Amino acid sequence: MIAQSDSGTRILPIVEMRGISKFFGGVAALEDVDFHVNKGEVVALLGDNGAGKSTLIKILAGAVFPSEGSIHVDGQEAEIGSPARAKELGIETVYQDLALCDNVDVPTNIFLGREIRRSVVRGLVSVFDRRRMAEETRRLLTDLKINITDIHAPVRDFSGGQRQTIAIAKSVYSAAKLIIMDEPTAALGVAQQEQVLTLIEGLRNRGEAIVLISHNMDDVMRVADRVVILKTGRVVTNRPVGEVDRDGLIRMIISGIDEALELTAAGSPEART
Amino acid sequence: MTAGQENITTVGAGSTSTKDLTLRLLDKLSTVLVFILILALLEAARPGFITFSNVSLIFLQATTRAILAIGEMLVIISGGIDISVGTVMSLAMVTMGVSVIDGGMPMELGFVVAIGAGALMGSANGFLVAFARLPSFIVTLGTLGIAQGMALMISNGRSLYGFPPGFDLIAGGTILGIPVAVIILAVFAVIMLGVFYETKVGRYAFTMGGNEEATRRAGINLRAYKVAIFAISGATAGLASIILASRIDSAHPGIGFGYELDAIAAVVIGGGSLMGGRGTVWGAIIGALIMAEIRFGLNVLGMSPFIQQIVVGVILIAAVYIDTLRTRARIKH
Repeated sequence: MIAQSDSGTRILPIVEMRGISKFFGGVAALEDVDFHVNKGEVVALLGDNGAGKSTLIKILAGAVFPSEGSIHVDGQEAEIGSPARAKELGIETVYQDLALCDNVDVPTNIFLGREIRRSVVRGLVSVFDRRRMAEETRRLLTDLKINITDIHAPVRDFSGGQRQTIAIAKSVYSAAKLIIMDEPTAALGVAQQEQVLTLIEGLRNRGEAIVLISHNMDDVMRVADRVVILKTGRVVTNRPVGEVDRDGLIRMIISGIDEALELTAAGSPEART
Repeated sequence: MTAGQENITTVGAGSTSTKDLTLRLLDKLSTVLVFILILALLEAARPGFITFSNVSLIFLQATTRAILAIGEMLVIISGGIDISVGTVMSLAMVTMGVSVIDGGMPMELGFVVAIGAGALMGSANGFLVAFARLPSFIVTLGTLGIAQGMALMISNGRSLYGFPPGFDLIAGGTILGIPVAVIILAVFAVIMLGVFYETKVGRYAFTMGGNEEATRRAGINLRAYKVAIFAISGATAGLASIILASRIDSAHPGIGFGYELDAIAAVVIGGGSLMGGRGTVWGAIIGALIMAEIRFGLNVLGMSPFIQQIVVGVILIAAVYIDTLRTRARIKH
């Protein structure tokens, strides 16, 4: 499915999943799911526990292989057979607790697995280029308006909100095409949630594509451009945030019936798929 | 930037102020203070204890343990443990002894054999931990027994005498008044500083000790690094065996057993955390110095070797307890 922009021009989605099904034994976790994300778009993926959100995300992250369907990255069909392959394709996932090493500093976390080295003693010895990694880290944090001064403190010294923004910054630094965030504001205080939401808005304005999984409808209404709701492995609805309200989202998550379709006879044609 | 954010920054990382720095410095120096305190206690118990020869004996006796502890430190930082270092040291020692004394191999090659035998056993540990995904405690408990048995088999259970003349100078000789063994320790420590802080093996040991899953998800091949970490620990035991063999100018298949206790205790006393993710080369050295000091002091006080074993066991448990208290305080913070 090719998305229609407001002006009617066709934009190529960054990532598009077509007819995805996944069976675990005889049970269908996902059935014929279409899902896509455009550049500069925050798509909220909603659904109750067991609706298939995690499975869909794991397929994108390369942790689960779909039984049926195809995935297209930048218009090219792609097989995401492993987490490493997902990274190669530019799909980064920010997990709730698994993203950072608490005992080391911010640059070590940001550059984990892609350290910068430099030669000393006439090229005989190679050491880590700590200064450059620190400079790049500062530039990245400044670009993303993340307020962290002491980047050399171990990450455990920071608040939950700061840690989450660091984890997100890490995925941004890897020049991700698509960033998947799994409950980025869960377990955070109000001020800290604000930090993370502001960062997500900033990322969207920079043109990043984001999939947001959240149970917090206020967060969704605020930062998402489009919502996709799953129920028992099927897509319930897929429409711009402007066409729904907070209570409607909750009702759809529970009932699995696309309400807005009945309300707006002239609803977007996109919603029908 | 909202006021709230400002506030969070101040509470979080901003608190690394002078007070925190002082605390950190104290934390770093605390082990040195413990070393001096024990020295003072021994002086009080046996006036005239503090002499240049006694203190340099402590340093000399600490070298074997310090070398073992540095290798052990790397394993413990990565979140594992290697309890086979003592008997691997025995195995490396008798392999060198048999090659040189019975086989007529040149001494220099014997050094390579000792370090190689240690590295081989260490790699075996690493492979089992990384590929069979067994807990390192269990794997190295197994190789502790295997290395002990192999050491006894290779040597037929006898002690080996007759290393070439001059071999004893490694532990007994001095250069400009400094024992050769201490110089070897210093050189080894500098090399290991490089490994800890300038190689991926060292860096990923820290990150996997902090969060193994995050390190894996960063696309790092953890298996290769685990094998390397245990191989280094084994090679380190091989190096330690050379110095110990030189000190007694012979090789004994049973000598290493029990050294793992000292090595692990030295690591924990020196600030290494059994939870992984924390530790320094310097900490391993000062921890080994304290262990050697305690053993030496107990000897001077006329305590039997039996009691020494008990004391070392108690110290190990006490040090780990203090470490868990420290970790809990950190988590609360």
